[in-house]
Amino acid sequence: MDNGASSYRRFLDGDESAFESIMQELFRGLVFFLHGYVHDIHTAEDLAIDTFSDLIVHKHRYNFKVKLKTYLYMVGRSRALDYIKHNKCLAMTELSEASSIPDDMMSLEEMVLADERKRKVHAAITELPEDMWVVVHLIYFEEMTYEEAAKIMKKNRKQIDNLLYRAKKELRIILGKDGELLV
Amino acid sequence: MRNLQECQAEVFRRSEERIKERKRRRKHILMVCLPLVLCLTVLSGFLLSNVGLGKSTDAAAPETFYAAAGEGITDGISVFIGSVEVSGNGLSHLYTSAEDVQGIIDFIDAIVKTPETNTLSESIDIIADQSTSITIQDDCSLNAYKILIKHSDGTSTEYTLMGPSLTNQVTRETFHMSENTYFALKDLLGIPFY
Repeated sequence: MDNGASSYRRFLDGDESAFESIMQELFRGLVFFLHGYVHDIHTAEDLAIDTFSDLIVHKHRYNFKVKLKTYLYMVGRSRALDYIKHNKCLAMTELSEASSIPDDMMSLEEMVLADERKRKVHAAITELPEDMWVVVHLIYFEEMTYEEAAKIMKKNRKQIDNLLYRAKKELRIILGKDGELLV
Repeated sequence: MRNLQECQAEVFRRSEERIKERKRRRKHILMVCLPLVLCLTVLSGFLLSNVGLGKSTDAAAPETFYAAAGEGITDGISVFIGSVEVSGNGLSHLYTSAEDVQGIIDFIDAIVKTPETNTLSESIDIIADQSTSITIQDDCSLNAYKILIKHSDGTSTEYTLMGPSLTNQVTRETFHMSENTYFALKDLLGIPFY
């Protein structure tokens, strides 16, 4: 599995249907990932659409040296950070409202995280600081390598290692007994 | 939340929009920058041709003046300084370097502006009166030398150096110098002391 790179090559060669398979493969995951930054499903979707449109507008920016998924997540992350920078006042959610997660988000979570246990862990990692949340998400939920996560987060491998170690420690506390399941 | 097909359609719509926007921006930049570049090119060409013209008038200067022009370099632009010709008694020196020419002009200006009282010529006269001046007269070598100064504005001044007296040939004024000044001037003009 090349995470869409071959489909993108086909798309560049003129096969427009190849783009559909890239979307099917990576779009939802990207929206879910960006949601972790912007905390709004519609904004995340908007940013993901912009990220995908980058693939069409700047056709030769992706150099096939990394997986297409890694590249898209890199672009998406910087778009999300830009969005946050330009909209400094992030909508704060009251704790009482937090339990009522919008249906859209629920369905997206169900789509991306089919496993019940994974969903529980994912709910727990949202309590982690941003860097830790992202690293856990990329490594455990997107099944990326440390190197790929490092590229997306613009950190080195050692920093990712440290972040993950600290994140796991925090998660054990948050999850209590379930935390023991984390390897 | 939109379904995947809607999202894909949105991706293509936005891409098209962005591509159009990019083209429009490129066109706009071209429309702004091209006249600017053209203006700069014309302006720099005009300036360069002016500098070239200045150089050619400088080059013509040596034909107007009989001697080669002394040129000084100021901020990368060639400036005509002038020249000094010293002749007489089989001697002929032409100074054209900016430093030499300026040095001689400054020195002569200083003599002209501040005539010295206890001059060598007076001393020579006094000594001559005492009939013991032969050696000194020989030392001072009273041969006449012509000093022709060509100024940067095209004017020229001619002086005659006869012993420790400097005579402006235009105004017929004579300036007397002290012994030290006289020898210093001779040294500056490259006139032998014997």
